[in-house]
Amino acid sequence: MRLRALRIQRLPGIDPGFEVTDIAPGVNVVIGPNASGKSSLLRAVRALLYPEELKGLPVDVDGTFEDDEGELRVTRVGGAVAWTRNGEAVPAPELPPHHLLGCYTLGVEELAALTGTDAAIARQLGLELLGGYDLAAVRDSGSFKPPGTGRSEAEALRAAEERLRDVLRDREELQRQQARIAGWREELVQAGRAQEDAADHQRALALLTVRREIDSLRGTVASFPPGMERLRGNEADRLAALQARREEAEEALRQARTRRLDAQRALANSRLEGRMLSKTDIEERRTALQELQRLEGDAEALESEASRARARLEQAEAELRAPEQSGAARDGAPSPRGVAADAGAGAREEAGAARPHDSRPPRLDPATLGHVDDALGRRRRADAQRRALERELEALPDPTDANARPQHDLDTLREGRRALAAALAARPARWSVLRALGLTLALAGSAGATALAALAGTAWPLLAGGGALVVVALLLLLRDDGARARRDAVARYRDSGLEEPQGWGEPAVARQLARLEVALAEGTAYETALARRAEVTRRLAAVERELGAAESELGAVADRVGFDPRHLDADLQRWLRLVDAVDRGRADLAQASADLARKLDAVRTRRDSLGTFLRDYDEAPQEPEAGAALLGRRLEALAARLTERDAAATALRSAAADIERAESEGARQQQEIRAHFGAAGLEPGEDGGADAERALEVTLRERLERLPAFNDAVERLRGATARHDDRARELAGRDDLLALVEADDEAALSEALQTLEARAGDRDRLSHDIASTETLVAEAERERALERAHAERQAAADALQEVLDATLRAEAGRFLLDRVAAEHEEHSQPPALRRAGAWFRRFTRNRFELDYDGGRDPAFAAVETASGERRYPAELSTGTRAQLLLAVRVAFALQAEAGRTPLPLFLDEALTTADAERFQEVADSLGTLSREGGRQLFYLTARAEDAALWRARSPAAGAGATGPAVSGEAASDPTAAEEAAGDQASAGPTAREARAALHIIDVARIRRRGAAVTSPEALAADPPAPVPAPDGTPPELYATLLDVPPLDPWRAAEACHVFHLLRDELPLVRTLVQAGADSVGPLGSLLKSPAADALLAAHERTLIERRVRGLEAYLAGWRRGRGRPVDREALQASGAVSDTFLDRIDALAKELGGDGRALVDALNGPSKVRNFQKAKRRDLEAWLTDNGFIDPRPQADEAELRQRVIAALSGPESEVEGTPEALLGEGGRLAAWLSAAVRAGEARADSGRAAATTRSRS
Amino acid sequence: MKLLCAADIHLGRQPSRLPGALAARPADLGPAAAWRRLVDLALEERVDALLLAGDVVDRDDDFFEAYADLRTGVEHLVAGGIPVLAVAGNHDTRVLPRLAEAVRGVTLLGRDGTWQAHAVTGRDGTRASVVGWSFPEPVTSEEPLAHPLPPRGPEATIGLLHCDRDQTGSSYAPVRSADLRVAPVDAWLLGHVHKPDIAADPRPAGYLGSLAATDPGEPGPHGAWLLEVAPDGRLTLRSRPLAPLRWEDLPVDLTGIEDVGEVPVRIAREVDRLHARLAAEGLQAAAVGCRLALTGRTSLRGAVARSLAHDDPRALSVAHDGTEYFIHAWRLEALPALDLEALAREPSPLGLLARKLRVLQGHGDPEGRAALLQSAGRHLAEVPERRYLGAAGTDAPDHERVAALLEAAALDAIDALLAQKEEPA
Repeated sequence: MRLRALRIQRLPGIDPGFEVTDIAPGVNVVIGPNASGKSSLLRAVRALLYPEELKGLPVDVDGTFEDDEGELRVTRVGGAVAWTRNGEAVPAPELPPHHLLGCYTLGVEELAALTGTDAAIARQLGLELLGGYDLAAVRDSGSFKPPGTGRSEAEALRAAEERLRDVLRDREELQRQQARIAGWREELVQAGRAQEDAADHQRALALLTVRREIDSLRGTVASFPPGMERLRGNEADRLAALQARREEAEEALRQARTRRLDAQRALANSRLEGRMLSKTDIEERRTALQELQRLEGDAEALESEASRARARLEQAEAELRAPEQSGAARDGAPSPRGVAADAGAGAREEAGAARPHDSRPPRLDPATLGHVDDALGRRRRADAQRRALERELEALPDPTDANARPQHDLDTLREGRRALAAALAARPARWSVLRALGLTLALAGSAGATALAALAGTAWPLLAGGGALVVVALLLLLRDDGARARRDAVARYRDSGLEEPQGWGEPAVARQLARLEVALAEGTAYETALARRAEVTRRLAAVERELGAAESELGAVADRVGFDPRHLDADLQRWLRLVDAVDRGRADLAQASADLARKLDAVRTRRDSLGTFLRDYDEAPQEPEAGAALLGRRLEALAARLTERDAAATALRSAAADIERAESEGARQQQEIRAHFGAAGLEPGEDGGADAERALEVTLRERLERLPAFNDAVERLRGATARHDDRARELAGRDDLLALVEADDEAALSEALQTLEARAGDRDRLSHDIASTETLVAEAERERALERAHAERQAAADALQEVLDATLRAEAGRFLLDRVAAEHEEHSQPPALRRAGAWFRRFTRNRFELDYDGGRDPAFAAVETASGERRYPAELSTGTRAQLLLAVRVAFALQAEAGRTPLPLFLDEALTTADAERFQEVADSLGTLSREGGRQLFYLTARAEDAALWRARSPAAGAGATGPAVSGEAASDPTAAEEAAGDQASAGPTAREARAALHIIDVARIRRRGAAVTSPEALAADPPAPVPAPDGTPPELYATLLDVPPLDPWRAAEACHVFHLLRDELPLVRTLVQAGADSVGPLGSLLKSPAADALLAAHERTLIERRVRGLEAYLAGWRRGRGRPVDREALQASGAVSDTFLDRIDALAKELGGDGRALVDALNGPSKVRNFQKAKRRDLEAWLTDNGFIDPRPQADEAELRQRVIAALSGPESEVEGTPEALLGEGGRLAAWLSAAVRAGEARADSGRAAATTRSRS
Repeated sequence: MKLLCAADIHLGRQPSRLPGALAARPADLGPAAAWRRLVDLALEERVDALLLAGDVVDRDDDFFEAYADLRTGVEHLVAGGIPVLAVAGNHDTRVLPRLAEAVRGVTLLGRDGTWQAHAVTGRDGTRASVVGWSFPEPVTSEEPLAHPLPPRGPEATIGLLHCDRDQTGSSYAPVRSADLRVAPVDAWLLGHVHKPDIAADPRPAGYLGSLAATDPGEPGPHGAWLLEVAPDGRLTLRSRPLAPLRWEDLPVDLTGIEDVGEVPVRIAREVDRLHARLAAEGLQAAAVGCRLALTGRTSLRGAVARSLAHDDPRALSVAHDGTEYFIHAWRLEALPALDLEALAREPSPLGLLARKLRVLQGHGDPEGRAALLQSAGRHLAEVPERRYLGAAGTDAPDHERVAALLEAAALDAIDALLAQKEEPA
């Protein structure tokens, strides 16, 4: 359905209305300045077709359409739309849904940004494409998700292999060492022998040294006087000792002689020399003297005893006489003391022995004494009893004392007490009441019984009444006995004459009774005391009688013994003892006097004997009665003389012996001294005088001073000799060495020793090496490091293999999913998407391909063919985005109107932002759509040059187009017509046809607001730049003409210019460049499009595809072992380079051409960046390695690259392309071209870096 | 006469893929333990000789660990009156000569690549001859049977050889089965291939297999062989499993499960069955490593996969009669309970996946299968060459491996897409 005319009567924003007629069925370019009404034209059409547009607004529009059946008129007034055909109303045609209206009306604003239309399209497309399945989700889940790069596992494997290699290296070394053990053992034996030999040589050298020492010492010894060897060093001391002892002997001799003289004098002084007196004699006299002393002592004791006996006798006699003398002084009562004193005096007189005693004491026999004692005892007891009875009698009442006698006698009191008690016992009160009550009842009963008997006429009640009277009688008989007794008692009491109580009530009677009780007790006590007084009186009389008897008995004794013992009173015992003492004193005195006389006789005998003895030795005392003491002193003087005599004799003998001994000792010491000199090697002369001895002594001391040196020499000589003998024994059997010693060949011995020690020195090392190696072997056998390292390596390999297997599973799954997705998309892709894709490729001259992302938020995207990068609309340039959305919308508009009435397309400045080339592509495509599909097209623009661009569309696009016609007044402008004719003539048939189809509507002119197209030149367009033909141009020059960039091996293969692949096919290069496929990416897109079939021959297509495979293989091979170039972005992404170092390291990286390995080496080397820490350098290196900026794998050389290219050219196994030789040649050439292109790029980069460096330095 | 025979002991190697507790005691489960068992068995059986068919040690430069184990065992044998006859394999061209020189009673047959015969007289007076050939170098393409064997005598003759059978051009002493058959011996005791395939009839001949299986690639029983020589020359061969560690496949059919919780139950049940079977065979192993394969057809395949991803069955460890059973790897091979043929007719991605799965499984379109494998092979070939994965040294997967990978991926993808349909959007 095409719009042929439009009349706007009323439309918001349009005033006045206007009308456009003669609208072309093909392409109409509507030109007009802004606000000229271009867009209103579009709004009016939308309002006509869709009543929901401008709903509720004042609209009055009508238009004329045409379709296959003819014209259709439509009128809208307000909201009412009416369709008529041939004047008859017809239903509205079935139009595309309103929500897809945006697909037909494309404004520049809409194309500049995503709109709901695009989202709706994407959603619808997603449903169609995916069939409800989310393959992308599956692709990124479960076993389809790659497990990782395997980095950690690979590193673990590498580490395990390194450990294994370390162990193996250790084991190899250990094995080598172990193999050397046998040799070491042999060397050890040799070294042992060398050590022994060296020891012998050392002994030989030592022997040699000793020999030399012996010779030297022997000379030293010989220099001393002969006989030095006999000295011991103590000869001087010994000599001095001998001389001292000799002097001691001489001194002893002198002293002994003196003692002998002294003894002789003492012997003479004792005056007993020659007398036969001995100590025994003295001892005998001492014994006699002691006897004498004893006898004298006894006589003295006896004398003392006799004196004491006499004194006692005198005392006893005095005490016995004392009572008679003192009795007269005391009241005639002798005291015991007086008696004793008298007796004592009597005894003393008796003991006086020499003086007669006139008043001798009485002689008392024991019987008399017993009588006296008994009588005295009885008298004392009777006297004591008498005094006690007399005191008691005084305390007892006297019967004669009337005052002491009681007022009433006991009987009266007792009678009164009984009367009062009887009065208290008589109690009338209770009995009186009861008796009155019983009497009353008895009387009442009697009366009642009488009355009853009268009334009843029977005797029984009378009997009862009689009984009651009897009771009354009994009660009367019983009366009050208590009162009567009471009265009796009162009467009795009054009869006693005692004082009456204050009343006869019970209390008064009781109180009186108590008083009577007291009086009665007092009366009783008085009676008892009277009885006691009678008893005491009686006993006193008896005691008096006893006392009289004792007195009588004592009187009798006194008469009999002449002494009144009564005077003795109680000290008779003492008197008796005094009498006894007088008797015994007399006896003792007599005995003592007799004994004393006998002792004195004996004393005189002994004195005489001792005096005789002492006189024989001139020691008798002058007194004839000399006592024992004097005799003793004389005897001891004699004993002293005897002792002196004996001591002198002894000293005399001792002195004689000492003299003999001293003389002998002196001679012996002199002999010793001579022998001592002889022993010291000094022979004394025959004379042996003191001078000779002094000379010998001087000589001896001189030699002794030299003796230490001599002894030292001798000792050293002895030691040297012993060592010599030892060494010689040790070297027994080594005659060769002994010979060298004998020859004093020290040089030969030392040289040999040095050699041997060098050989023996290896022994410890060899032993250590053997032991340590055997230890290592044992440890190796025990620790099983190799087995463990092997197992760890295997485990690491297994772990890596697991990752590899998981990766294979994931990649297989992803491959399968991708394949399924592609196939499904291929089979199920909506035609609109395919069409949109084709248009987009065409619009962008194969530089982009349309991509549909059916993810969670479905959207369209563009894939840059040169890089393979996907870009969403927001990431595209404005022009490319408009081209993308234009392609999609138009394609979906066509899809949406399937079965419906097609509508014109309105493009409201949709290509404003496109460059001329793209504009032409779009115009060409839309022109084709218009021509082939009969689609009417309106392009609304404010720019006249857009009209020119439409005119200058490509020949292909202009096929079928007709020349431009301008609506409005300008359309009749002859100048413009001529210009158009001229253009038509120069453009050829196709151009003319195109211009014929192009109709220009100048809205400004229509609305008479000026003209958009002011001149025909405004519609002229610049022709596109031609691509030069090679025409034999050398490839390098042709590349320059085409401005072919060098090959950047780090960019995708799609970025490679086709020249690098087809240097031998330059015409084909030109064709491809003309078609926009100047690089591999667009080329691939072109190959997918139908245009390729017309553009390329089959062999050309095959050639291109083959070369592209070769290119990919080349690039893959080239990249191996080469890290990606390190740029600033990579340095930042590494996280190891802070902003502080970023500029410097980035500059260094640029200087090194982005070589990661070189960068790391430089950072670690002398040109390192200052202060960039080692840890950071390691981090950077690790990151660069992990992310492909450093590739440790070996680089492929040219030969390998060539092989890879050749292998790639051969294609899949199922393909057969050319002969092997041809493939080799073609592959070799292609590899060489690519390498040259890469080198050119590197050279350019190097020069660029050099220039940059120069600039930076300048 | 009783001869105890073993090969490929690989002393010095530790078993791999052991779980935590068992990994801590490799000495109890590895070749060293098997070697000790072998020595004990020889002494216990009072065999007349021990025959070793090469690769006694794992590394021909392991003179300290494996050699020490080997020497200790051999010295016990010799002290017990049991001589040792051995041929060197590619792993022990240096160790065995050294052992033979060090220990009297050890005879290394066929040094320098020449055949050598050695007479053995049993305690019962039976005589036999053992002919052997040793690797002169770790790698040799020389064919041992190209050299003449010593002329045989009337006594039984036993061939002892380490070789690569029917691998033309092999670098490990290639031999042909036909040549083995016509060789003048009564038995061939071979080493090199770890999987035992020696047959008793009509005459004992074949690989003895490794004494101890050190990795899951050596499933089944491993151990020594007791060869008895009757006085009349008849030979009897009996297996004597000695490996302390055994590897087994553990297929578990998931068909019919109604809940993923049944999976561990079925696994445990299959472990029980496996143990019952192995115990009936006279299981000697202290541990059994199982490769779990979940098979069958179940509509819960996706749920099972998710469950197993969460609860790794490798954590399972079961002890039976002192034998530890563990799972070292698992694969979900069960098919979804779907009509894949019908599903493959759907135009959806699910249908496409089903179609590719069927193609991979060989249901039509062989050209498409080949193209798919070729394309996938090219895609996957770069994986082993990746920066870190390349260290594994693995070749690009072959078509069979690629097919398996794709098949598994298709099944997982189908599960995932079905799960998307099951889950609310």
